[in-house]
Amino acid sequence: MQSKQTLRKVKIYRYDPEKGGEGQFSTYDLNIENPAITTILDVLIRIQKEQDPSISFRYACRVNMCGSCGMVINGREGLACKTNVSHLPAGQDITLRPLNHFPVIKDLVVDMGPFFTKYEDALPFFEPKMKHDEPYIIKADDPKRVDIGMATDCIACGCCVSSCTMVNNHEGYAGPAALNRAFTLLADERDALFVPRLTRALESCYNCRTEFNCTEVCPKQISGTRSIKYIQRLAVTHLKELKPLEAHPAEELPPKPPKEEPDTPCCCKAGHAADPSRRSFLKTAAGMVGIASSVGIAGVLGVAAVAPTLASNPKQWVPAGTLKDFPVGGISTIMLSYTRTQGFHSAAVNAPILVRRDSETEFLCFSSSCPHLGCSVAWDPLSARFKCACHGGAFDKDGNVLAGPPPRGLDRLPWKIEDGIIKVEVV
Amino acid sequence: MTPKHTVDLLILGMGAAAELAAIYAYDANPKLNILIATKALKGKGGCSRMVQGGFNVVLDSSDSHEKHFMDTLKGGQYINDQDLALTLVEQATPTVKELETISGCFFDRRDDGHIHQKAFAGQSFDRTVHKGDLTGIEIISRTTEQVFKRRIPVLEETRAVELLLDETGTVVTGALLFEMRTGKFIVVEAAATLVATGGGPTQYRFHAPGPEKSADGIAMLYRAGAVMRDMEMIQFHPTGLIIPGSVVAGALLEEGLRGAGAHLYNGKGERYMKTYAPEVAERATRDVVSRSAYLEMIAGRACPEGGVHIDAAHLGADFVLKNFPGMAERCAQFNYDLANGRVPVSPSAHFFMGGAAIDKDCYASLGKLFVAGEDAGGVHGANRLGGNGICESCVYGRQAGISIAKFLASKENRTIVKTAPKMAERMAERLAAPLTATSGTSPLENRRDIQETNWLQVGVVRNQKDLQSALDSFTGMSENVAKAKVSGSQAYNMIYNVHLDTLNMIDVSIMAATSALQRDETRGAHTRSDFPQQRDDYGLFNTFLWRGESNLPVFEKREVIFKHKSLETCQQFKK
Amino acid sequence: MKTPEMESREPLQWGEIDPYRRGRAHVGMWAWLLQRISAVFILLFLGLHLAYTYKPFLQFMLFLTLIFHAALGIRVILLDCNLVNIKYQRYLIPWVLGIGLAIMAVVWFIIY
Repeated sequence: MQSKQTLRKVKIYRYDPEKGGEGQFSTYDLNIENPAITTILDVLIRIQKEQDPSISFRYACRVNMCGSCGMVINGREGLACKTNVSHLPAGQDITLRPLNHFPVIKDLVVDMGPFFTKYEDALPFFEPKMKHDEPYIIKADDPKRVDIGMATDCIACGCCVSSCTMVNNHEGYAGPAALNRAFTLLADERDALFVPRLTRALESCYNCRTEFNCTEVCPKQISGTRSIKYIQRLAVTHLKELKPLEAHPAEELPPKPPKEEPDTPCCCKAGHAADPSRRSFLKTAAGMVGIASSVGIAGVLGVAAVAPTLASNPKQWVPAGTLKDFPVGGISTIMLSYTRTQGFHSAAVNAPILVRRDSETEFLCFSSSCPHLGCSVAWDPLSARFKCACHGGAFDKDGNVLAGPPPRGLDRLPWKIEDGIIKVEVV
Repeated sequence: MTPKHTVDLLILGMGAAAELAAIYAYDANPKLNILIATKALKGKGGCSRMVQGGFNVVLDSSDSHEKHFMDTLKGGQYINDQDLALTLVEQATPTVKELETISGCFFDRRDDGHIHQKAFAGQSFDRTVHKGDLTGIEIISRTTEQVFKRRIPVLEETRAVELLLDETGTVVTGALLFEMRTGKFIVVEAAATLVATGGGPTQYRFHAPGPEKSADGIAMLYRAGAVMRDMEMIQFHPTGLIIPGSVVAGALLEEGLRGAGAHLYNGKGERYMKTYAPEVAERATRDVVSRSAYLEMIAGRACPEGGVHIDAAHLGADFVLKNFPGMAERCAQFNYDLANGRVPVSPSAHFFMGGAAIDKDCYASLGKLFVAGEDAGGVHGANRLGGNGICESCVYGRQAGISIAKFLASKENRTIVKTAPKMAERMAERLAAPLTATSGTSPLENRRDIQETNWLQVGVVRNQKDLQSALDSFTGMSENVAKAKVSGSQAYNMIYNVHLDTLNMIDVSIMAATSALQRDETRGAHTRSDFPQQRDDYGLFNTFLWRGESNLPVFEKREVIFKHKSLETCQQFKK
Repeated sequence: MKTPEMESREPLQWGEIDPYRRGRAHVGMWAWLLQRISAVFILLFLGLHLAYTYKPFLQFMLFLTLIFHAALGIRVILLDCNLVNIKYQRYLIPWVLGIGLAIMAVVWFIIY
């Protein structure tokens, strides 16, 4: 029985190693009668059986214990055998794509080599502290074992590494799976490699950006982020114990390749360096952002530090207006426009000042800048006081503080009259 | 030209047996050149990883090797190789301890800090060591890391297809491997070869092991001429999940559920196990429970889904969720509620009790050949106890590692014997034929045919007529299987891999069917509806077989040797 | 048997040809990303604020970005120091942002 409702579009990423290229999606129509109990793995197997025997994917145990069938399912990493069709939003096509950050061998099959290389870098193996014949007696509710919890259940499927946006941008970042294993061993009191492992993990654990992508996709509900945070805390509390690394014996041994390897099975010569153009672009971009930020910060700090020392120097007399402009007994706000030359820098300044004329020859000039935060102060004829609009500062007509947060009265500016023109000394 | 490697020790497979063998051989002599070839990714293939329940081992002072030994013999209905079974129970104790102290496994603890042991069916003592209900992940993850630590090279996704022999045909000189990624054949010559690929009776419609398993090792050993035994004994696990139309169908609900007291109900809602095994009911051994379920099903008392129901809800939802979280999750994925409801299950093909005949140091019947784990037979007799499977893999993996290191200590043994000329080339040519064939059946169809025939005629309950007809179809099918047609390129061609699987499945099916015809009684996993009784006056023999001239198996029935325990002691043993 | 030359494709990148990736809720990732972006805006507004001594709009924006940045920063600190269980990380984001904005509202009205 085939109906519109049960017909789903399945888009599968295809890459043929003999042809090369970028790869593309192929679309298949599949009748899925019972999406609640049909896994993505079933979908793949059915398409392979019924429509296209050439598609390749990887699976082994089909009960989410081996971690072979990790792939990106509708934009999210997961195990094909653990994701049911009904877990995906109903309206969406089923879109299957290989894991990120691993070379693609064919279609959905990726080379997990880089994963295990990084995994091994984290010294992911138990090294007994001393020869012990009997298993350790550790209580079930031992706090360290409680910390470890189910984190040892990692099945190395690579979903976390694929979901992480950091692994590919930091050469030395071991990634969530490796650090999770490092964590389970660091918290294991039976293990002897605490210091070297912590030193090793330290080099990469601060690359985590607390994004939780790994935690969200983990099919075993392990939180890579939690493990990494645990290592970060350990690193802080054990800072003194960390020493420069000696190579672990396992690394000093020369790798033992079997003899006579004319052309060793290695189908993936290229691709390990992971996308040089993108990498270099990211590096350049990161560099530029870094430089811009430093210049910005330096500029701000520099101005803040230097400005006060320069501020006192370039005083000048600026004409404020003719005597006619100021009625006796009145208070006026006028805008001063002048050029301030400070060091090598000159700038056009528009600064308002307040001018009070008490008699023909008696003036009082205030800076209109509020001593609190520098807001503009204006004369309010109704309440007969200077008011600052920002934070409710108020000054009497002599510029003394009446109310609000200003720490002192309005600054008075020196003035003089020359040839019927009133001049004010400003900075 | 096929690439060629030469190593001291070639290990086929990467499950518990293979990894422990590699670890122990390396530790005995780090200078050994070891190479592991696995069909899957590093440490991801195989059934050891899929172990749920746990590992039977004597740790408690009120338990004893004697009791474990007797449980194993009783479970195996007396036809175990007693030497092997005794080694199993005795060496299990140090093996488990070393898994903790050397490999770093951490099994669940009791409140007092000692290793917790839980109840499994068919045992006189609660002795199953476990890590939650997903024990295999812990064992395999930890041992795989130990392999990394020792820098033992691993060929990933490189499956063994045939064993290579010298000119006399009595010494194994290595193996022909097939690299799945590139589609290349690789020849590896070795001073010693360990076959530890694991079995996995996936030649049935309903099977518990992952579909990538295909009894490769057993079939390879048979084709190479090794002596095999007890091939009629194929265990069906009673509680395989029924999931219509899904590849996950047949995946197991672990035995611990029954151990903890879960009940089984037929379609009429009766606890039928009370009639088949009044004393122990659901805690009977797997052979009994599977057979009973199958008999209920063919008697028309199946549940609507086609099997029987397992009910753990009466144990309390909290108890189930706490002790069997993995099982509950597995059920929930398919809309079954293990904690509160009944879940439909059916017998599911699970394990080969049979395999290559070995001694307790894992020497098989050909020179320079070692076999460990499920590929070897004799340890479990006619039925394997739950929890003895991973136990066998670990114990015999360890035995193999130790004895291979000893074997290779002598300079004479460490020399490489020359493979018969052109042998590998001819094999590769023959195996590659389907890729260029212009006509032939699809391997997927072949596999389905094999699975259906086995399920219906060589399944849980067998009879003479069906077995004979199955055997006839198999001989016909083996022609078709070899002449399959595979389209597409060589790189990661999954269909071609299915073809290689079917080649092995058909050989194993022939062995099982012919072997089953030899045993006119019901014993353990071997149930004959035409001979429904266990006949201790007749059936105390093992069927040994090897490949004869005409590609058909040659038989020899050998009496069971009651070396350590007499028949009477076994019969009188009560749990 | 001849084996053709084979080359594996270079790794796919995060989000590359991934039609549904954008719509997915990677909450923690956005929290991180927005925190970093808000830092740039803080610099911008801080610069503007210094240049134009008093502009209520600028002050408001500076305050807002600061609160936003600080709230998300505090989220990371809480997680770093294990003061909040990591399983609540999704809820933590609305909470810190909410508390931050509430504080901001209160402060804003006290000052003005």
